[in-house]
Amino acid sequence: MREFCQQALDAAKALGASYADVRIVRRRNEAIETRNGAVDRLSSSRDEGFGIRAIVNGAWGFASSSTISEEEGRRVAELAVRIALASASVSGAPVTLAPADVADGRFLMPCRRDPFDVPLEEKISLLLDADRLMRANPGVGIAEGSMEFYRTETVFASTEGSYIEQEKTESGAGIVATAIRNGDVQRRSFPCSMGGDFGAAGYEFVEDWALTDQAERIAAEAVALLDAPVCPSGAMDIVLEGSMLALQVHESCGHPIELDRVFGSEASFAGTSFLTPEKLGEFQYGSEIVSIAADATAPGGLGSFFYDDEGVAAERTDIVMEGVFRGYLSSRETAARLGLKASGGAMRADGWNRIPIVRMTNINLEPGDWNLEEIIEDTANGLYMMDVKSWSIDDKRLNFQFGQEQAYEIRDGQLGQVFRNPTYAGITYEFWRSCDAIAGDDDWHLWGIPNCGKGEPMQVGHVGHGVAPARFRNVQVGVIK
Amino acid sequence: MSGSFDLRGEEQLLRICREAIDQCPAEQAQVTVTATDRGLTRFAGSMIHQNVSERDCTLTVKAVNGKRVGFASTNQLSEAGVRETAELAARFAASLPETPDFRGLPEPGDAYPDVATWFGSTASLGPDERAAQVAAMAEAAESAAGDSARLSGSLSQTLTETAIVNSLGIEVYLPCSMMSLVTVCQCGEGVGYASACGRDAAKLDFAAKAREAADVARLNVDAVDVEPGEYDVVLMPYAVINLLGNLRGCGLDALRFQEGRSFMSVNIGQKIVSEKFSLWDDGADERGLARPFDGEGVAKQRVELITEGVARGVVYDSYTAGREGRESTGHGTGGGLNERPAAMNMYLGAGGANVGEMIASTSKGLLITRFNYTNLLRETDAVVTGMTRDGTFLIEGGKVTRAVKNLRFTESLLRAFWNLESLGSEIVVGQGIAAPAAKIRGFRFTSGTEF
Repeated sequence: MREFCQQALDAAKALGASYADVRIVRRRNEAIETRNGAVDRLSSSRDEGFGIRAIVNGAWGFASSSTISEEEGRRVAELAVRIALASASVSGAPVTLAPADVADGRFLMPCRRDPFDVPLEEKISLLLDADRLMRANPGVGIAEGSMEFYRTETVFASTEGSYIEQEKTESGAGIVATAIRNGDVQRRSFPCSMGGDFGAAGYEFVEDWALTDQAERIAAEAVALLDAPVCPSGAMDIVLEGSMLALQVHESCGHPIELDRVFGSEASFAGTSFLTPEKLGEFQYGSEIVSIAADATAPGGLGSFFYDDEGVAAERTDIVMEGVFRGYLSSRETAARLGLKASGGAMRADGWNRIPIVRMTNINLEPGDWNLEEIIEDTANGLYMMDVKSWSIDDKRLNFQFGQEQAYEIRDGQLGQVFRNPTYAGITYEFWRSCDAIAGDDDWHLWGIPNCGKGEPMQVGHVGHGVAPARFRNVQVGVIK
Repeated sequence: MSGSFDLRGEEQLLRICREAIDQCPAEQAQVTVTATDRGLTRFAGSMIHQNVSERDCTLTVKAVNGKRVGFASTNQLSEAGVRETAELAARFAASLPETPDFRGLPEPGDAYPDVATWFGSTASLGPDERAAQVAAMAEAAESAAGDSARLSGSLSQTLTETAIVNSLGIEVYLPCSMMSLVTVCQCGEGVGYASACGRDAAKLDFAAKAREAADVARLNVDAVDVEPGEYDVVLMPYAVINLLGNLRGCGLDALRFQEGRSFMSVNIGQKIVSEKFSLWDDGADERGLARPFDGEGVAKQRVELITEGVARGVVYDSYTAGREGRESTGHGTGGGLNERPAAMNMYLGAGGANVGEMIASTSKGLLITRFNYTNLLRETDAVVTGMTRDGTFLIEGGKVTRAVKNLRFTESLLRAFWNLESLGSEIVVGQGIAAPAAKIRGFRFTSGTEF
């Protein structure tokens, strides 16, 4: 591959590229889905190709192909250069890249049990066992389970001299029980909704969640929700369970700190950001107990890697420190544009056929000094809200509204009545400023989200969010009967 | 540089399909080969910041043994790649428990509608032409809204060839072209939006769309807060298309219908929205992204979804149709078992009004350009939430009086379309949904934001 890369880069340089890089990506995926006692999906895919990014006359061009050959390498390099020339005809200030160290090496992310070597029968049996346990409850109308595994091998080479090989394995799973009666649909998920939890790990990650141990519980909870009262509305203190808080971090912190978005690259699609550059180092994003970091080095994180997709080493960047907004997710280009010394290493691409863009790594809320029991006991009246059911936020990432699968009433420090159809809403910085308790290490978990959408053509990103349950005061709960 | 596109061709793609079928040791097999060439130019501040090209070709094999089904795919179409993928799909199909409701692959059926899907005007647009279009749009925006007008967005060209062969005799090939534009114009603090898409680039007026976005941006200044609550709303077609996409997501397909998760499940034959509302799916309508067959090679039928307010039907693929002992309507998306059917060519019937008349008939209300990040809250009464975006205006005394800050709505779409007062006379085509403007009474907004 080194020779192929060098030939492609040489071709781009010979045609006038001041900078070029090439990425070869091989991906393997296996997905299993069960539904009401049957295997609803069993699929395997293999995908490979390469993409070349080139700067010519100060503008970018990118071209890609699924055919890896010397001849195709030259054709694609030529096309990338010609596209860059077209870009240069309608471009602004020439692209400048912040410096990056040259790297050379092979990096392998460990996994204890290779999911692609685990017998298919074992994986299917686990899901069907959970399915059977959920459907043992006659109130369950739909029982679903899913597992998905990815292996991604990447080669990156640049005209600056870097040559980096990486391999990463990712695994995840989840189950859902849905109860339907008289036009009402209620569901409970484990370990979280939206396809389950994922990590940069092998099949051990799935085994550790012990799906069958929780199947009967979520089935009973889904059925019970059909008879539960609708969640009351009003300004209330709320405690958010981990996976719900992970999505809150994702939408209200992770996306607005993407520096390409701040500079308008997503203006017509995903939107822009309220965290404009003049706020850096000044803006009170949250309360003093809120500290958030972007950490691409977190072990097992879905947003972890050794080098990003423009060859910058993974790092940990402070985003919010003691409530104050301190940093962005950046690329070499956006870092230079903001006047930063170096990229924060957040450029990632969804495969060989997509250009790298600024993406979340693992955006983690630092653990606090409480534990969940203490937070509940310290709450006189409120709600404990869990598992994402719906999500929406405006295009600057200020006004949000999230729905949950269920909520428990908290009264005098005790969990009480279960409510259905809970929602809460707010303005991002007001919400984070109202945070007055965060649970500690024992309750902290690094959740994996494998379906973050951004960019055109659409790119699906794998990101992580480490959180522990936390309390927020005086939040608007409920919007519609 | 002009675009150049070399079709791989019917013979080549069908040959790959047949080879895969021959090498798949299963009782039945379906093979799909999709070749894609995509070019996309993104711009911000009226300057190109991303410009990409992609060339790919994927093979997907669906192997069937009795009631067992396995899938495998690859984009490596060497002899070995095709053989290994076909064998893997068969191995999967041999090792699964049975899916009781599965009735087998579809057989050849109705003739395919004759629709035009390939246009040289789209295929010939290379990066130079796309760059020239961006420059022309930027100029058009400036001429409409002044020198401060800046465009962001994307101009995208997608060319595909699809071949589907199954072991029961279905054998089809289709080249498709698609061009799409999404743009936002920023004019000082004002923002406006416009979009367009179609198979024939020659029929899309990109400069006109830039002027449309600029005209909205020019007016969208000095926005003020308005209190959340119920407002009569005039929704531009982009906003209506968004709501219809959510309506589709919560129940116009047979799988949700059969599971009781759809608002259609208990309402077939019942009036569920205004009699002014008629919604159907028609893959043969060339105003939209017409397509003669679905992901299983089954001819697309026109399906009446909601007619004059009455729930009429949902769309089926072969799997969901088999569960009811009926024929597929030609709405399979990926092969029939692992993906649910979808209405991908939806049309909301036009009315007789125009936007000016809708505004003139509104004593107090809101004019909404589009919605952002809408999402389903409750399935069976289709409660959806989302934000307004890129141009929200107050209507007072039959006139648009000023821009307002964006609002969050939380509303049942069944309630909203029950309160439908009028529909525009012209439809706008989005990707998979076409709709006119609409005026709705008493649309519920639940909170606001800062811009």
